[in-house]
Parts: sequence; C-alpha cells; structure tokens
Amino acid sequence: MSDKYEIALIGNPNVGKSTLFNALTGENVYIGNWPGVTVEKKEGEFEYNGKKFKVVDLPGVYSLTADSIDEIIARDYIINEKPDLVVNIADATALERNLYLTLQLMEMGANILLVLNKMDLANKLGMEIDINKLEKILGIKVVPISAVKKIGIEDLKKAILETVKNKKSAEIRYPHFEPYIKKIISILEKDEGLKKYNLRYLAIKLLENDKYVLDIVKNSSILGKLKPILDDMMKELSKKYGEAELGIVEERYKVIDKIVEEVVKKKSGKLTTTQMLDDVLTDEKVGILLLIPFLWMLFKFTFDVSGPFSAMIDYIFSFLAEVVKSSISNEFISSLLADGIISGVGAVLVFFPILAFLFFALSFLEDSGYMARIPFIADRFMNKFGLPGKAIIPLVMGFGCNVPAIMATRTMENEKDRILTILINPLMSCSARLPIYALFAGAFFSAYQGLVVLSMYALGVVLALIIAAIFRKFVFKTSPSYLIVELPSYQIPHLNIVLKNTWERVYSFLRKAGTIIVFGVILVWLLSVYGPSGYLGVEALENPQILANSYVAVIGKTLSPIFSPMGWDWKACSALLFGVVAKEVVVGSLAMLYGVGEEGLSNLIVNAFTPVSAYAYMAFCLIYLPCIATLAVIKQEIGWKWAIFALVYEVVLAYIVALTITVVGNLIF
Amino acid sequence: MYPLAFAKEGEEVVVKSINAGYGAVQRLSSMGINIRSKIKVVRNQNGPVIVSARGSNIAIGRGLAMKIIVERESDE
Repeated sequence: MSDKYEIALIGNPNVGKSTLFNALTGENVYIGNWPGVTVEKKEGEFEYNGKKFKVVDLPGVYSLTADSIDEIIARDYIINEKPDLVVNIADATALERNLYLTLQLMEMGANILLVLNKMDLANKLGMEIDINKLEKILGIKVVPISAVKKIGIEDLKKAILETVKNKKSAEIRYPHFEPYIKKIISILEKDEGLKKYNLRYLAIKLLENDKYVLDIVKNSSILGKLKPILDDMMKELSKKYGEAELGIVEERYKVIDKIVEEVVKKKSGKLTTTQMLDDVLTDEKVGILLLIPFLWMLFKFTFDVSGPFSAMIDYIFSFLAEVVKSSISNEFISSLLADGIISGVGAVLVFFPILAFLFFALSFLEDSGYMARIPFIADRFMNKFGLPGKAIIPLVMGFGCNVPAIMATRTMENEKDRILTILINPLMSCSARLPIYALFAGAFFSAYQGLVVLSMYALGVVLALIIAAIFRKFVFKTSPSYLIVELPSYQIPHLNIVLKNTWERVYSFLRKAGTIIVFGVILVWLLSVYGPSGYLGVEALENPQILANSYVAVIGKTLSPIFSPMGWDWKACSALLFGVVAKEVVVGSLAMLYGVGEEGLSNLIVNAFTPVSAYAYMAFCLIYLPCIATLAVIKQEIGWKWAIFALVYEVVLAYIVALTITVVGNLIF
Repeated sequence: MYPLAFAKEGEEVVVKSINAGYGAVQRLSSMGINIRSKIKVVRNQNGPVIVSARGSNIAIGRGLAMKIIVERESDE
C-alpha cells in the first residue's frame, strides 16, 4: 500500500486554479504535455502529515461535455485515471455558474472536494454563503479559501487528507429525470462489460446525446434493447424541452438555482470598477483606439527591454567562442565548439530575454483581465480573413519575433484556429529581417528607404491575411470557431503568479526547441567546412575562395538556375541557406561570400543586383523558410507534419512572389 | 422573438432557442446561457455581443449571436 495519493485540480477558467496549485505545491512542479496533444500538463507534489500528494492540474473547463480538447483531457483523466480525489475549485462570487461543473463531476461518481475560492471577494460584495448547508445539500465536503491571500490553505490540506481516504461519491438527483435514468440503468446493468463504468453517469450522458458515451454503448450487447427505448425517451424530451439534450442542462440549472437560493444570501452584484472600465475598453470605437497603444506597449516592452539582455548574451557567447578558438589548438575541434556548438547554444539563449519579457507582459495582461477583451475587440475584423479574434496577439507579436508569437497561440482552444494562426505567423516580418531590408533599401532605394522597408512589412501582413483566408477555405474548410469568452473582472495582477507563469513558459521553450536550433546551426557549419572534395578546413568560414568549394556553395550553385529569372547569383542563393539559421545572418553571409566587410557590402551588391532583383530578394527573404528557431517552435507546438507544410508553402509562396515582382518590375522599369 | 444580435444594450431577455451546433450549444449552456435563462445585454455594437448571465459577463461572437433567439422578458 503506497502512501502517495493522486489528486486532481479542476475548475472553470479564472477561478484562481493556478494560484491554488502554486499555493499547494510550491516549487515542486513538473510541466509536460498531455499524451498526444500539445496542451500543457502541470504536476506538482506536496506533503502533509507525512502523506505525499501528487497534484495534477487539469485544464480550466466550464463543463465536461467534451467539445474542446481541454474538456476531453479533463474527462478522460477523471474516468480513466480515477484519481483518489478531485478538488473542484469554484469562484464563490459566481457560484451559480460554477456549480454546473460540480454537478457534472458528481454525475461522474468522482470523489469530490469543493473549494470555494475568492471568499474574501464574495464577502466584500456582501454575499454570505452557508457552507454547512451547501455541504449537506451536495453531500460533499466544502472548504472556503482565498488562494491569493493564502487564507484557508491549511484547512484545505487537512480536508484533502480526510477526504482522500474515505472514497465516496455523492449522488445528485434530477427530479424530472429520475424515471428515465432508472430505466436506462436497468438495461445497462445487463451488460457485464459496462460494469466498469458508473452506470448513472452513462445514463445521464445518453440522455444528453453525448457522443463519447454513445460510442461506449454502441459496442455493448444491450444496444438492441436500449435503442428503441432511448429513442422514445428522446422524443418525449424533445416535446418538453425543445431539444432533448438540453433538457438535462435545464435540470442541472434548476437544481443549482434551488441550491443557490438556500445557501447564498444576497446575490452578487457586478463589480462597479469592472463595469466602468468595460464601458470604455469594450466600446466599439474607443476600445479599438485603446487596443492599439496597448499592443504597442506590449510590443515595445517585450523587444526594447529585452534588447540589452539579448545583446549581452550575444556578446558573452561571441566572447566565449573567441576564448575557445584561441585556447584550443586543434582547428577542427575549436571551430566545431566555437562556430557550431557555442554559437548554436548562443542562438537559443538569445531568445531567453525576449521570451521572458513577452510572457511577463502577456501573463500580466492575462492576470489583469484585459487579455480576455482583446479577442472581443478584434473578432469582427479577424473573422473577415477566417481568423478568430484571438489570433491578433500572435500576429502583432510576430513583428518582433515569430518564436514567442507562435508560443502565444497557446491561448487559443480551437486546434484548427491555432494551426492556421501558427502557419501564417512567419509572414509577419520579424525584427531579424530588418537588417536585410536596411541593406538593400539603403543600397538601391536611398531616396525612398523608409517607404521600401515599410512596404515589406505591409507585404507580410497582406500575404498573411490572404493566405489565412485561402487556407481557411481550402485546407481547414471550417469557419473560425465562434467567440464565446468570459470577461473576468479586472484586477491588479499578482506579481508572483505572473513571474511563475513566465518562467514556466520560457523554460519549456528552452527545453524543447533548444536541441533543434543547436542541431541546425551545427549542420550549416558542417556544410560550410565540408565540400564534395572532403574537409576544407575551418578557413572556409572566413575565406570566400575556400567557401566556394563547400557544400553551401554547391547548394547555392545548384539553386541558382532556379533563381536565374530573378537574376540572383549563386552567392546570393548560398546566403539564403545561411539565413535559415537566423535571418539576420543573411547580411553577414553576403559580406563573407562577396569577400568584403559589412561596410563595403552596399557598394558591392549594387553591381550584383538590379533594383528589381534586389526588391525581389528582399521579398524572398521575408517569405521563404522561417529561421531554424521558428521552425523548431512550430514543430514543438503542432508537430512535424505542419512544420514541413509551413516550410513548403512558404518556399513556394516566396518563389511566386519574387518571380512576380521580377516580371512586373521588369515590365515597368 | 428576434436574434440576440438585434437586442439593445441594457435589455433583459429570455433565451428561446439556440440554433447552433451541438458544441456551441453545450459551451454556451455550460457558461450559463441555456434555453429559458435570463440574460442581460451589456454591450451590443457592431462586433460581438456581451451579455451578463448568472453573474458573469460573456462575449459572444456576432455570428453566434444571430443564432440565439431571444424574447424581451416583459413579453412573457
């Protein structure tokens, strides 16, 4: 007999579940993904009275009907893993709605402990909740707490210890449905295979037309007997409730209304500050006007504040590389270490400050309550391009760096919406592309520099929206999911929660995307120092004559016929290959390949390009392969299949756009 | 009876039917918006509609708001 219990935390979004999770588990947290999906799985541990508890944080859900991935995860976990205890956290200020999930948990026959969070807030609003009465009506233990103020946490731990051992399930009765439920159970009982399930749960779910349970029953021997009876029942219920499956929903709310009436004194009023803020922030015109500075601040904060830190990390790693080069005499090993591994690790860590500040800002907005309003404001516009309102944040973030932007899509529940938003994200021109634009715009269009650079950003946005609309129509063939989002009350964010969220997300990027990035950098290094004739020596990285024999050059030369319509030479093509490591590397690679310093480069490329071919090259750099880090994060978020899809469509699109620019440009000029 | 999208700000209405798919109906009802529930329209401009239902504010996309048929409460 092990002395370790497994308990699960579940609750609606915005009830303070993460805060409680942190309060219970402290530092012992492990983050992974739920098997088979990219939804975050958080686990932690705590000890109480010599007993160990493993805490699993289930996704925030409103119900367990399982129409979203989060609900499927939560339901499957409770049914299949059978945790020793399900701790259901409810927002005391919105008990009426929160009890809906509680009832569903009770239907499942889980061993439940109900936690009423935000009790301090409820009291402030003049609400009184009769805990004893609530316990008696529901037949389960109820613990009032305030997770933020750490009030009641010890009581909760004690209650957990008490309830975890004597497993029992309390039944909830639905007066109008009992006859139906009993009858269905009496049929289900006859199948031995179904005995492992809670029959009452199956019966209720059958009346709700739940696909998952229908599938379970479909494979049982009693289907023939059950079907006609169930069909009759559904017909009857349809007459009563409009739609049969909505009957049980109404019953649940009837039960809840009765409970609330008996238990809660003085119903909650609305928070006035929230009302006042929303009058302004969700206004059709003012809201949009205010959204722009908010997003601008988010953007500026992320990239400007992180800038010096990234530069510092960059500096430290180049310094390290120098040290390694001068202290190891074996050229191959020193270059592998310095130009491959160290600069690869550096390439990963440079993202650390950017991600840290982005996630800090995002968590801050999330905890404040404003985040939920952003999709509301953007929904209408985004819908025109087949995108949900929530896609606005990742797209804006993409201007800074696509890596954190893609990770920011995690707030989207609908998988198709999320994949689509990730796929178009690399078209948002990140800051690493700017040096390329600056070089070419300065060399060829000095009079219109600003305008030319701006046109690249605009091209990216327009393409992203068009591609989104096209993919929506031909790849996903669905409409963007309807916006249904709760607008939580505004509050002053809690620094420790924000910091903890930030660290968890940054860490998961470093751990998962890191290896691919390091590998990519080493690969390009290998392609540079080796050629068809064998090992060229590390001088290849500094000497254009030697580099001309490397695999990089071979690939560049192989590619150049394909790009001959655009008039790019093989050096320009090889530079694109280096650009895969990071887009800003393109400029340095061009300088190296042409055998000049970056200062002399603009004079030299004037001879190698024409204004039209230069503009096409800029556009190509914008669109083709995302950098290795972006690719790594796409793979991390949505898997190899979509990462390769992104890669292919972008190369094709880049080619088409560059060719179009060349053809049209040459006709005009 | 008219779609929620046509309701005025400040109006209190009763949901009569929801002509959307199973998923959307379940999600709405789990958030406190089901048939016969009373909701108050908090915000209705050109974009999504915000309603107050069972003590919390919920934003509903305009497309979906067209499929939620409501009736003014006093009409009942």
